[in-house]
Amino acid sequence: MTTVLLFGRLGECFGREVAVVLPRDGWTIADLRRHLSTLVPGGEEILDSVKVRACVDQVMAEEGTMVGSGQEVAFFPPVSGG
Amino acid sequence: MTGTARLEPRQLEPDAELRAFLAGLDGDGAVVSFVGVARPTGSDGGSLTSLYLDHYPGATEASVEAIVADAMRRFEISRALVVHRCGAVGPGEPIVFVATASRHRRESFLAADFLMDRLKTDAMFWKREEAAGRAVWIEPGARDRSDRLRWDRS
Repeated sequence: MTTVLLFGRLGECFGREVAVVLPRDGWTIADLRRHLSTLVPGGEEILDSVKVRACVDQVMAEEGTMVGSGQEVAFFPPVSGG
Repeated sequence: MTGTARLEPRQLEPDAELRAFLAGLDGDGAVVSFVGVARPTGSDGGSLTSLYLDHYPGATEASVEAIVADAMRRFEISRALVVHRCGAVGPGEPIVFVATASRHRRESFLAADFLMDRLKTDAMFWKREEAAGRAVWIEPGARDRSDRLRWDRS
């Protein structure tokens, strides 16, 4: 089981937190993105954007980054502070 | 040299922050401070009831700390402080307070300008404008991105 956190408009679409059961060998960020996109109508369009980035255990991740059970994953749209 | 970043879930009080910052000076001759305030109107010109700042606990603090550390490395400043709101912010309320201190004024002005440009594009917040019956998520605009790029060229 791993926890996926979603921020900004993604949190509104998917909920703030989604629990995902990973296969034994884990998943890449790209695999997780594909899985999550099936959970809500229009999810593919919402998540399949080059602008939606990901972190694993709070460190920026690439599409090929592996995720194992117990790790924390976050997906988020472009940030905007100040 | 001291760089400080803090997340503020309640009301931000710029006057108290500036007083405390001034009290901590050590041989500096210049202090620059900036207050970002929530506008009463949204990106479409309509009246807002509030602005909501979503954040990622832990990662957001780390992102602001990294920006402050970068400013400390880049400019000849002795102190830098960023206090950033999270949660619901009412129109006219402060969102962000930035202060910098240095021996001479130029470095403080530059560092404060740099900090704000970086916060706009690199700090892990997500802004939602809220008005009666509607809410819109705001992303950095072309101006924010070009302001950020100025520092890569200099």
